[in-house]
Amino acid sequence: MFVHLSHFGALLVFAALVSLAIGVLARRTATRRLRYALWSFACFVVVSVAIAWLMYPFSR
Amino acid sequence: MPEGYAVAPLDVPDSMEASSPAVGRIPFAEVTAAVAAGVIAALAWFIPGAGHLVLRRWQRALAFFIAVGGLAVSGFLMRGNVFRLHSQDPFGTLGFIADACSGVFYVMSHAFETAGPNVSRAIGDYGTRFIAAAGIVNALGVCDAYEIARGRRR
Repeated sequence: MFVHLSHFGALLVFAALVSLAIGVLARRTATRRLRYALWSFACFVVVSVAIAWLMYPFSR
Repeated sequence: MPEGYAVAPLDVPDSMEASSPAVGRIPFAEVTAAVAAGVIAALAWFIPGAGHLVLRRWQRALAFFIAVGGLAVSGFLMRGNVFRLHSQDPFGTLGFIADACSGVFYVMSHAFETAGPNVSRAIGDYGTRFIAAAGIVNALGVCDAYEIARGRRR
């Protein structure tokens, strides 16, 4: 069995799973954990896309 | 020098006399707590989330199992490289340490990744990172479970 994900799809899966663990570790109540996990997920995605755009001129 | 001594005896304060119960002894409860925390840490390493389950931290147990299992299985299905013990280079050894931290998922890697790794494609390379990340996240979980078991963290 083989899963084919796009680069962005792999980023989303990675960010979601790692953010889940970070959120649960860093906060105590369920609501704050969820908010922190969502914040972490957004940071993963936004920073990764920003770095990808910064590297774009050097890709050719 | 007094008779019967090879060298002059040290001037030991009364509070440090060998007869004092505080010197040279570790309380039994402390040893028991340390051993129990070690067992919980080992359980948390082998089955991600199990350490928190024993400590009745349901949310953390479920989150760690989903996060570590999801990362490891995704990495296997992407055909990432699973590092073995006897690697040829130091990075391979580091990769083995990271991978082995995912516990039972490392043991079961052959069952998921029947076709072997394929890092000639980008997605296979990502899979290698996913598997290593699973181990690192589980290592965080092991440290957290140990600290909770020792009473240093809630």
